[in-house]
Amino acid sequence: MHRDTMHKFCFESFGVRVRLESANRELLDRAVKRARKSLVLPIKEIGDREIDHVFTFGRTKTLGYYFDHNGKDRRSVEVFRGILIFFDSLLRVSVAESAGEFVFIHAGVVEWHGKAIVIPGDSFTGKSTLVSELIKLGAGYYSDEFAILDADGKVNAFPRPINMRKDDGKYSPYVIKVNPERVRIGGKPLEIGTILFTSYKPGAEWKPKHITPGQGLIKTIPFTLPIKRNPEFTMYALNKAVNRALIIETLRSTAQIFSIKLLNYIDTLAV
Amino acid sequence: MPKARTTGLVVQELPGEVLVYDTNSNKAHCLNESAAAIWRACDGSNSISDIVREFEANTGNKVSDDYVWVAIDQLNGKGLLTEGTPVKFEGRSRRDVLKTIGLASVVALPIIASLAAPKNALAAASCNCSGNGDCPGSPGTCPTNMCDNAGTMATFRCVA
Repeated sequence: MHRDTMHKFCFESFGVRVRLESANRELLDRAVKRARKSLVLPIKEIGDREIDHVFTFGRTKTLGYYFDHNGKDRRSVEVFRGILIFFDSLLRVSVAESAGEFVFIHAGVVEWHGKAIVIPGDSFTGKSTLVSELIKLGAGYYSDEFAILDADGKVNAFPRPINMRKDDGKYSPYVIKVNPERVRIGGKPLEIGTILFTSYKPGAEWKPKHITPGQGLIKTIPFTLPIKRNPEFTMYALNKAVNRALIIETLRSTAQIFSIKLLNYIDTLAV
Repeated sequence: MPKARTTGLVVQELPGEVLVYDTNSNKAHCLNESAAAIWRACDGSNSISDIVREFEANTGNKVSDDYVWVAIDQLNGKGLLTEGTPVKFEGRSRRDVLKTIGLASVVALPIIASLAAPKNALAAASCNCSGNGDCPGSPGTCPTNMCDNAGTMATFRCVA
């Protein structure tokens, strides 16, 4: 299919230029709608030039629905919804790895007394549960997925709806509705006040151990998406971010009790 | 003579620490003050005795050759020297050397902590597998590399 007969939509998000294209207008429209939802913040429509990532959507009798990324890595499935789910994840990761002026870290982020609490961690490690408990206690919601650092080492908001998994062992996602007053869409970039490294262990006690900025920086590396592609800027921004932060690590048991102890601890040290 | 590597490294200084990201191995290292001071002194012409003297002059603390060898041993292991420098513990185990230094020294032992960059950002971001074995419910071949992780009855199995 010649490129000129393809429908296309080009946009920029966090400085990353993306083209979505399809010979099928309806598929393209659905992909665009999904992209807007995926990237949370308003995306800026741009001209078709200097594109970093191309996602091509289509349908054939043999493959079913498919999309490919930059002309390769083709995925196909019978139901288009399945394609959109994978596209959603791949788009966010592609933007996160390519954003030249931002550093994306897998982390939950809340605002507490004007500063950010950043909780690095991969998906399905309990970040969302902890973030939701902190919000119940009055913290502002910045993200349950990415801490997005700018060149000053400050955290920008990325408040996607919080998807939770129920505790019955099955993945039954439901969305937590956060009081709109607590959601920081377009919230100002925050200096990091606290970085918390934690993992769940039944019966774990609250025993915070302070670690140095350098140790905190390297513990963040496994969660830092652009480190391989842009190590110079990433290390620079991380250095700025950790320099004045309280960095602690501790195991946690139930998120409800843990979040109370965490906020009390932060407030005690701030006095 | 030990020589600090300079190519392929991204270095950031923090108070009392040096952070090094190795773009060859995609690993990050945190050198404490002692390890950093010794690494800086590895200029390819300094002998171990020279490094000891330089360290003592810069820090005001007396250390032994063994102390520097412990740092060289770690720097070797992390790939932060241009070539491997044979470490001389004179027949003792590294553990015995560390015990001796720890008891005698008032200055912190040279320590280098390391962690690797993320291998697969997509697998970490969701349960969409980008390779066989990424998805908890899909061991083996999955032609679409996609997990069923949507809706109320998600199984995390391959969506073929």
